[in-house]
Amino acid sequence: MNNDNALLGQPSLPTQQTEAAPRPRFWRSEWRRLKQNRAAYLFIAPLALAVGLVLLYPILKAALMSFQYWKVARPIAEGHPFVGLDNYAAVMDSGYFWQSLGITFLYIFVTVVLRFVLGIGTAVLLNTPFKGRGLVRALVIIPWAVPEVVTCLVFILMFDYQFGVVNDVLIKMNILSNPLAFLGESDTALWAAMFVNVWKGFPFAAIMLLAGLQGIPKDHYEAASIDGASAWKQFTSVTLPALKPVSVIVFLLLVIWTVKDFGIVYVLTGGGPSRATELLTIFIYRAGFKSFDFGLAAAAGMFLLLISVVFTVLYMKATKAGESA
Amino acid sequence: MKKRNMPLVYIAAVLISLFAIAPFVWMILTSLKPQAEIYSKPLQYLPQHLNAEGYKGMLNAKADPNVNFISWFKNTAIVSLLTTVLSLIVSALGGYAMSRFQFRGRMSIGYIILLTQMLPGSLLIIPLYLIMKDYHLLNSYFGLVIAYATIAIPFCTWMLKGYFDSVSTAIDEAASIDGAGRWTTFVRVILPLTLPGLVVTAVFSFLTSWNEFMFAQTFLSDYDKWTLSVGIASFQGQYVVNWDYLMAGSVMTTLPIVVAFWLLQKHLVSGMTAGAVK
Repeated sequence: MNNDNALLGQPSLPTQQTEAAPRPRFWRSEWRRLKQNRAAYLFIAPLALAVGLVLLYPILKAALMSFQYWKVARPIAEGHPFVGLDNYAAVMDSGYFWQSLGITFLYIFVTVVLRFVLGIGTAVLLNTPFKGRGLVRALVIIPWAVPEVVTCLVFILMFDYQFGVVNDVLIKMNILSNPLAFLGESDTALWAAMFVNVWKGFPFAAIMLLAGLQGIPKDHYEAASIDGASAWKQFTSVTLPALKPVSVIVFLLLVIWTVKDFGIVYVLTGGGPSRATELLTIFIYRAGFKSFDFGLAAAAGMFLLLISVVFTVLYMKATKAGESA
Repeated sequence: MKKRNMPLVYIAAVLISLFAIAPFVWMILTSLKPQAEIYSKPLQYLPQHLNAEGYKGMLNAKADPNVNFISWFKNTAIVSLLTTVLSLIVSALGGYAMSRFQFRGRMSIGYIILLTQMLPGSLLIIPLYLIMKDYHLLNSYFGLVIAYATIAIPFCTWMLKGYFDSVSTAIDEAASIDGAGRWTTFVRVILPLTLPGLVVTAVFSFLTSWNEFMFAQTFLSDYDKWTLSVGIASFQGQYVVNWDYLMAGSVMTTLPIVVAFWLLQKHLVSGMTAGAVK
């Protein structure tokens, strides 16, 4: 990548011009730069327009709304006047907000760790030559391909209290004595939702980590094996250190995406029962589209944005560290 | 891997495969069972009598006024296709500029692209809903396509930039020496060379809009404008859930995607991992 840039050069920077360069050539290069830039701006214009109008402008609007009165159900004559930090105060005062924040962090922590562990295991397996590896790989990718809503519906059926296959199997294996309404009880609903998330998300982690594994030179293993290292020792002393850069990136990507997670839990439980699975994203969505207080929703959204920003900055740092290494 | 570890490898392979496919298989089995067997005690795992009522009911719009599977399928296909075309055009142009041009603001656009990846949809949807309402774009394919395309564009740009980077700039220079302008070089030389990358990116944005739920659910209130995700999810709130219908619809929604995934597995994976794993 960097080589490409060097090839195209940066004729614009005066420091790169030699003193001896004749004047006409200098003007020509200036003109070329302008022309080249014009082409670049034309190519980039639709992208800038789309991102600006449909992503950045709404975010700025949301930031503005978080300081305004926006209770749609109770309109006032003044329209949407500024109310200072009222919306933020209302968010901070809401016990449900803090509860949803806690649920969000628990959900992120548990699902990211589990997807990661399962992903590494699967990646190591798929990196081992055995008969039928291609088939296993094709099967493992299925959860990734199944649409989110479909995934949720199948699990709702499988977790069902009366005729769900999960209860049936667990009772036959004597793990449960009585059936459980997995998605209907406050104690189990969040864990059941996490299970669905892990099922759907582990193939991505596996495939990314597999790509990282395939980049480890074979002779590292040969050297370790000559030194008499066991398979487990090889895993901890060769595989894991070599996977570290990719792991950091996959880990942070999973976190950034899980912060935004909405669909799986919303379709499975709608945030219930009695708000036991209400992620911050669901809190915001309900504040907006169920209570119709867009100001409060926007203010809560700013907290969510803050969490995303923190992890994205970490991600940028991590990828940059990888580039320079 | 030493020989004595092979049984362990096979046990792990079987376990992980079962874990991955069990819900998928359960969906197909349930879609083929008559209702009585779905609710039977003790639970029958395999269908005793094959039954296609679910499929028939789903595909016959007149059978049930709440089911409009064919319209939903059509809506989803239209929205997904338009999204794909729009996002591919914008991100191919942008990705090419990011890969080939050195211009003021290039770095900041790179950062903005990365930053858009973290924008939570549940925050974005609140102002976007009001904007769409002001411009009468609710309940229209157009509004949904704009939202989907823009959400897919940053990632597609990033992927395509990676593919463009993999084509040597010597090719651009050769075309330029032959007298081709930037535009001709891009359309006639670079795009054909990166066709596999374009296909992967197209599939990616198609899948994103095919599977999307939150925006469709919020923007589309007319039930004959619904997409598959919204339509299928609507069954769940009903008092009596017709699981054979629901699972038949799910199978028909999922199969095209799974087939696409299998066909494009290798490219999809290399496209996804090209940027992050290096």
